[in-house]
Amino acid sequence: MHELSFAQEIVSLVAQEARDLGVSRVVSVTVTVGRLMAVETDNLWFGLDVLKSQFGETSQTVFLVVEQSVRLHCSHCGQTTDMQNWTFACETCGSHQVEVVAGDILEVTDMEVADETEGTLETMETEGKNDDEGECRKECYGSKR
Amino acid sequence: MTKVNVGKSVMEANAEQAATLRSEWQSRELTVLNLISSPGSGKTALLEQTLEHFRGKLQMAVLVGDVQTENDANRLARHGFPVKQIITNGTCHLEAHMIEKHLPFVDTKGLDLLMIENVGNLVCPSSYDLGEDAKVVLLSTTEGEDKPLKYPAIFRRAEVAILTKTDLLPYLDFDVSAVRHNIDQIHAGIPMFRVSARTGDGLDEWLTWVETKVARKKHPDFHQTVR
Ligand SMILES: Nc1nc2c(ncn2[C@@H]2O[C@H](COP(=O)(O)OP(=O)(O)O)[C@@H](O)[C@H]2O)c(=O)[nH]1
Ligand SMILES: [Mg+2]
Ligand SMILES: [Zn+2]
Repeated sequence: MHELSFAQEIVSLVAQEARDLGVSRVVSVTVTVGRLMAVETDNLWFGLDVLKSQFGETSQTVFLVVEQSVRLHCSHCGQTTDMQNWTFACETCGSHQVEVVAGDILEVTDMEVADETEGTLETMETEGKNDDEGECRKECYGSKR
Repeated sequence: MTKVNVGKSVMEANAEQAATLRSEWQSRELTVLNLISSPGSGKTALLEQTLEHFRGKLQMAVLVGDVQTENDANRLARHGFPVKQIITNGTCHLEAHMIEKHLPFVDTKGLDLLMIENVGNLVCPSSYDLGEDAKVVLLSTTEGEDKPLKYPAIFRRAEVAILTKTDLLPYLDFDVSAVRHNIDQIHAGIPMFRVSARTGDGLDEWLTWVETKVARKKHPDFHQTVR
């Protein structure tokens, strides 16, 4: 439901990161989505693909969306295990005294950028052709499902 | 081509704003609760009862998020406390910056308790920290007992669950022990209050919990519940 607003933030974050690094083109980006974030990866990927054209830095970026399972640390037996079947209990000893240590993030993990010597600057088209779409981006399409 | 580690959270801007709000509210000893449920589970009805109960006892204020209309704000404003509607225009959850922007409309100097009614939705609101002391999840007896399993994130993040519309139980085949079991699978042992905003049944437990929250914010070593 919120995938589109997340996609907008990711695209902006990547474009800003590229500018901070002084690069004009981002080739690929890995986005990590914890399963506790309740994000539909297909919807997120679709949103990224639609929204990336608003920045020159991201207009040709390939986005890779990777899911991260929920991991639980047990304060009873000390083990860290993958959560099974949405049961927040330790896989090893069954205790409910667990803390989520992975699976609750939504982050831009890493990216590949084009080296400036590859001379991509001139080939970029950064006309703000999508500017009139600004209002639509925050809509949550999923809530209409 | 060069590979760059980024490691930046998409929720960072919201998290920072929420942290600012939280520390401000901490120093003011202001308790903030964030009510989350599907549309129609009874958030506004429960709030109406809660406002009525605390009238003359606490200073309260309400921010209520909806995709459209001021209907809920109008219902809530009858109970003698400042209320402000946040119309999100399509966004299916509230974010910290919306709270920051709308709080001044209802804020008062000695405010004890701010209630936030989130947009009706069990998914998106769970991901957004609003700086609240606790998320409260509501589930009505007309919904399925498996809601906690279908929407685990919110049940995991909520500090307390409320089963609403218990006055309808005689007419339904809703299994209360099954919902308790399902909540325990996601968030073992959290309180589950059973209330009817219609008859007032079970409201006491919820109101006591709220009062205790408020008292603890003011006196961290507060143990007993005030009645
Ligand atoms: N029978 C019964 N109906 C209720 C109760 N609480 C709310 N309702 C009804 O459920 C509908 C939705 O309630 P509302 O408070 O607007 O839900 P919200 O969308 O979560 O704010 C309204 O028609 C209420 O009158 C209750 O305890 N018992
Ligand atoms: Mg409402
Ligand atoms: Zn264990």
